[in-house]
Amino acid sequence: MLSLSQLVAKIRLQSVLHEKWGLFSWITIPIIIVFLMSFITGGGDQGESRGTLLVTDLDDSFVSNLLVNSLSQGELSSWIGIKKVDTEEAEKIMQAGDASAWLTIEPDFAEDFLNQQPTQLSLVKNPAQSVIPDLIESALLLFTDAGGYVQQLFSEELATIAAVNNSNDLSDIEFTALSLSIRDRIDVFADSLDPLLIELKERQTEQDNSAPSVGFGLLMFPGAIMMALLFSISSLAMLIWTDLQSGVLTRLSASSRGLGAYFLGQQWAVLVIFSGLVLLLSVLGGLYFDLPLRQWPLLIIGLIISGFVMWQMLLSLVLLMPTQRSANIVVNAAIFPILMLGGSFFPMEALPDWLAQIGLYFPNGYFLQAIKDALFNQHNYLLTASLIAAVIIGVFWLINRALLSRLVGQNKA
Amino acid sequence: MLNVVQISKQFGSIKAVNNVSFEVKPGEIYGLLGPNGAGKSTTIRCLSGLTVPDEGECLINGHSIHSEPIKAKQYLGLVPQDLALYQDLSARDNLQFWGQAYGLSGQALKQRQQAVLEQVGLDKRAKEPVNNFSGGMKRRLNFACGIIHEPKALLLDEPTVGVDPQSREHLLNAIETLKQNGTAVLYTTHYMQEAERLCDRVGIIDQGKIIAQGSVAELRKQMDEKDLITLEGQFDDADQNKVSDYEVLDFSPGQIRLMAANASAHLSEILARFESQQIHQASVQQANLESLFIKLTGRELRD
Repeated sequence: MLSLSQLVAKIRLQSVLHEKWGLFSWITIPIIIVFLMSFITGGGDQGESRGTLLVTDLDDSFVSNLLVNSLSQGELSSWIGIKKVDTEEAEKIMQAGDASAWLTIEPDFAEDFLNQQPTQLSLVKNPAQSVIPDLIESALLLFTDAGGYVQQLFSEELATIAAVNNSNDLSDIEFTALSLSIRDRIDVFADSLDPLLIELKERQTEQDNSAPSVGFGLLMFPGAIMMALLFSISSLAMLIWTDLQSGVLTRLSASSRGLGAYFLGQQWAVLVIFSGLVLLLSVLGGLYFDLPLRQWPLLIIGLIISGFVMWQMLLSLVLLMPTQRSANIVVNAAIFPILMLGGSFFPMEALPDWLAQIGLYFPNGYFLQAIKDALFNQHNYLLTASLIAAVIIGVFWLINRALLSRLVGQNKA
Repeated sequence: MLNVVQISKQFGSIKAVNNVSFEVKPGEIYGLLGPNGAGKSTTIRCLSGLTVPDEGECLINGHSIHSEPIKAKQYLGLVPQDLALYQDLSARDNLQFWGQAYGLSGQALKQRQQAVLEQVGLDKRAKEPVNNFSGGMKRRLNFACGIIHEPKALLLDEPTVGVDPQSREHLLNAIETLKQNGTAVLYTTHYMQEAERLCDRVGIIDQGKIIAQGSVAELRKQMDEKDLITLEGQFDDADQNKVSDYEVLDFSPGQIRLMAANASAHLSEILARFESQQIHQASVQQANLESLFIKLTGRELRD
């Protein structure tokens, strides 16, 4: 037969499972928030967003095609996708905001380039974006600079190509002479070009040697699990008031051991519920964000303990209130700032420094940061955090036991 | 078994209990009779240890409920006014919970579960969730949960409020059985009929004070065996003189209450003293606790 405290825990668990919608909301609201935020910001290590460059090639020449193809080569291709469209379609897409920029290559671009005449490329940038359009503009400026150098270095050869372009008539001898000329020109500059006499070397700073960057979603999901726990705390604490109003606690306190066993049973029930919630959400988040398996125990145990700390503290608030209504108002009013500033709605890494510092003074913020630092930043102060957690749990346990007796004594039910 | 010694309790400016003393012996039912707000529930809360009185003490089998709570509470059972039940659990599961709360376990608990279910007439509905019960059935289960551990002293705080006649009968029979088994029962109520039926002794409480105490027969004697006559109609101050030869308990523009021995014989003569259009209702009530309460306080038990 179960002990009285185990029976109390079982009754509480049954009542929680009976309230399916409550349980459902504790689990799904944080999941939805994390996935939304992750989707908006690009998630974990899924790579940066890719922009779209619309190209209207009114010239449609070898040179214009060479330019367009070069924009979709190498590392640029990971940032920019090219889409060839006509003017009308391009205007529609830009109006809808579905592209980062629109490049128009004017007619006679090739002829003007080859004959070293002034020519123009026109670029329309999407005003709603900043990074990708600027990247496209910078890339095009590089190409226009490069084109300018090519014009200077290979002016004669380009004129020959221009003539061929117009007449479509180049003999074998003329082709060989052109190739030799280009090769000789390149040989003159080869010593300066390969390797470059001026080398740009990237210097690694100390910060660069630290842990690899962590995606927004991965930073956020421990806080989202804490959110689920805090939502559940509000409901679980109010169930004690329900038992008080129903007279259960009144009769229990008239028995020699009932209230103590009830209190212990509530703690057991909360631990079981937290363990279930943390385990479920950690598995889901860990799989989605590819958290290494060796980090799961730390995450799970850390969150359960942190949640239990928050339970003890918020329970004190609930038990201090004189009525059920005031307890409900106060605990819900307390939870939202705790969530906002303590790294549940936004990871503290995304907050301004001064706000993040304030967040660390909230217990959930402090413990969440301790967990994340141990997981991602290799700063491990878990021992200190654990000791603090143990002290808080111990002190508030005693306080809450006394508050419960006081509340039952004061209740007029 | 139960001793209340000069307890007083004040909440703010209101003295809820004022120097109340009584005792309840084993095998005795003591009724605490009074209107709402008289101090009955506060007295129960003091006796059960929920409230600490400002003065005086409460003893259960010689042990103070406040300084020796564990020793005192092992003798105590409580049936509160609220339904202290888990609604989602079955009757049997509720009894298991409360039995364990009172220290029962194993076979002893199972036997007591069955015994109290039969005693309150819920043995055939034992497995159903309490949510499905009527109000009267919940009251019966509430009572069963308070007696599952066979307490030597039982506190019942208005156990029949809102109960159907069948359930009330079950409960009153069960309480009488407890008395026969030697349990000391403190029974608070504002129903005079229950007090007169069940109680060996009654304390009438009003505004925190016990204003009369004794057996039902002794209390009736305080009425000098006079009946209560109630006249309802339209009266003015001059009409009071028409009944000045009787003991007038209460006089108001709409009602006159007076005491008279053998009231039935006097009624027609009394009515003749008033003009016919003045009185639209007249009643006679034999001497009982309610009439005593009215005599002592000028108010009804249900005020």
